[in-house]
Amino acid sequence: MRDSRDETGRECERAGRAIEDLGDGRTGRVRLLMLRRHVQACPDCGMRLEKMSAVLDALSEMQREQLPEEFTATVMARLLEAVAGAPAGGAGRGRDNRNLFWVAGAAGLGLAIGLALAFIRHLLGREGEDELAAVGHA
Amino acid sequence: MAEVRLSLDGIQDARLVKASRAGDERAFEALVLKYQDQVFNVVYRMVGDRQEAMDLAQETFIKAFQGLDSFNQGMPFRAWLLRIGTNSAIDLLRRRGRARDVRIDAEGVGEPAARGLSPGEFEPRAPASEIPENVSLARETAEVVTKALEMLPDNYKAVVVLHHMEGLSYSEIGRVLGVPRNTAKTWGRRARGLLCDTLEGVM
Repeated sequence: MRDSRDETGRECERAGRAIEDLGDGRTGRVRLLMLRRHVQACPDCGMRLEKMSAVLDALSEMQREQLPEEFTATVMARLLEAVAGAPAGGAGRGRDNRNLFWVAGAAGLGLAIGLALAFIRHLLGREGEDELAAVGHA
Repeated sequence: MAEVRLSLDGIQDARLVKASRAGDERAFEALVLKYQDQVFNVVYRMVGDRQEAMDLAQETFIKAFQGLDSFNQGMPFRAWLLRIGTNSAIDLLRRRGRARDVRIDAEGVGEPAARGLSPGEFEPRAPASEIPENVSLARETAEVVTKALEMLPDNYKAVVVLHHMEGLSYSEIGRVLGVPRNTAKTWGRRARGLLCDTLEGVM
């Protein structure tokens, strides 16, 4: 008598574990068959299984909310605003780097033109001095 | 946290992240398009308000973009993104003053905190006697479960939403919530236990 009660208790424990595993979505077919057989004879475990199944059904049937179509555009607009407002850093840095490249390029070009002009002026200045010296000698 | 082997999807995301870091806005837009629905639905189920969820989802992507430099490319982008989303949702619930976390005890197993709800507090909102006869049992059950989900402690709720509604594994959920896999699993079991308890007066 006692042995049969112990056995029933163990079966209920096993059934309880199987029900929990069912919640995790990892109860195999054999365990599921054993569970079904057990709950036919055990109303308590039957109720537990019924509740778990109802919870899982309810969760899986909860409808997904749809986003408005403009969501992506709104995110991207907010993102560009945030990047424009931020000093530097984040993924906006790549674009900032490109801007820096153009600024540095323009500055370099300006410097080169300036140096070239200064050099030409220097050469012209020397020619002028030579001419003046020639006139002086004459 | 240890690096994980990325799936094909994860590798594709890593490429998009790399391009986004280099300033390619279209690459980031592709990531937004890919994950906006998932991020929105997770935060919506967490906070329960459509407009707030929309704002949170937008903020999640902006925070992600601004934090791309700190993102570890060896980690799945989805887990990182959902982590930002769930943390933002939990922060909002805390600001609302109704956050219900559970502490992680020495064994890494959570117990409802003092401010959280105990299983005894999980009474169904709508007892069977108050529900119109023309409403089917399944619909009634779904309604009770939806309301009970709102009342769950935030970390339990996050596990239920991520596992049952978004199909994440417990390992992924662990990465999202920053806890070991087994802790996420325990939270999931406890959450389902609490949800089952709410059906006491219905079934």
